[in-house]
Amino acid sequence: MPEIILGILFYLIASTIHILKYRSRKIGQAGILKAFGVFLLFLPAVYLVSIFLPVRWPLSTALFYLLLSGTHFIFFTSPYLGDEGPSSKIYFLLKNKGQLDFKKLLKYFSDEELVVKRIRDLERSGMIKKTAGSFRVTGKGKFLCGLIKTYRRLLNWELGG
Amino acid sequence: MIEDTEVFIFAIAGFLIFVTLHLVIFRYIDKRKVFVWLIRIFFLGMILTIAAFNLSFRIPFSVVKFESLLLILIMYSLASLAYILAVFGITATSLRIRILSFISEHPQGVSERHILRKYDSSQIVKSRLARFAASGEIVKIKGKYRLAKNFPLFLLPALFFRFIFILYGRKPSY
Repeated sequence: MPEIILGILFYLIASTIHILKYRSRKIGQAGILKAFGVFLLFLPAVYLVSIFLPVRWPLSTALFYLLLSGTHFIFFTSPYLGDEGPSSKIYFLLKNKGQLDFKKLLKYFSDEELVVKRIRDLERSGMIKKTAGSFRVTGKGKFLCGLIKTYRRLLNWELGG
Repeated sequence: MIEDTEVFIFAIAGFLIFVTLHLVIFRYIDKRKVFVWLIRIFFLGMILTIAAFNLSFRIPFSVVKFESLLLILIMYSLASLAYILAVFGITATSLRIRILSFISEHPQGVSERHILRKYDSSQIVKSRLARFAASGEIVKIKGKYRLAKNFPLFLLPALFFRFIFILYGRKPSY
């Protein structure tokens, strides 16, 4: 299975560099999509090495590498945004404490962490803007809302969160 | 011999089968059993991909055939996981999207206080607990919440998110 080994090998190299660069704060300040650059840089290398070796399925090896990197990147958004999802937090709190009533559980959460921080992130990413003390959705935000609304309609799904 | 483009196309086709099944089946499911249905659809898509692969390559079993199918199924799994986390997960559970949608419902603008009146930590935790309880992951006994299973479905992604969080030098607050 040289394709799988090659894909994993390149993914491990790219993700190690990505982690090291992030920990040294070299990509911590970059935009979320720019932070994916490390993985994309290796994509042509995966394809060229696959042809050079040669492995049987170079195009598929490149796709495999891209999928590994993409999935890793989705998980990376959590440390990038500094978020601990409320569901994960509830889960680990109950796992560690055994049992908790609602009042005690709530003490581990704050409006600042769950809501205000997310409002700031939306503002920073240009999805909303504040004018005269009120938040309004920008064109970019409206576009995203439209996509989400369409997808939700396709699934017959109500609003999450 | 199985061609490179055939492996590539089968991986994409398998993923498209998964997305189609998801879009069709999720219209009719009990919305409280999301995790279970995602897993069922994932395996159904996998079975259909294997069936389509075997129908297309009516050649005797060989190492090459096994390896190509393995690569297709790994790519199918990764693409499905990425879709669940990035597309469906964001739509279904993201607080940011919920806040963004709330603001978009008020073209005249909405203050932070107004947003907090609608979404505060108490309301968010309550809704997450209700979702966990509905899916059977958490139970409430004598006013206290606890995990219902030793190995809940939520465990794997939660553990992996935590692992990545720590790997990138962040310290979980819990």
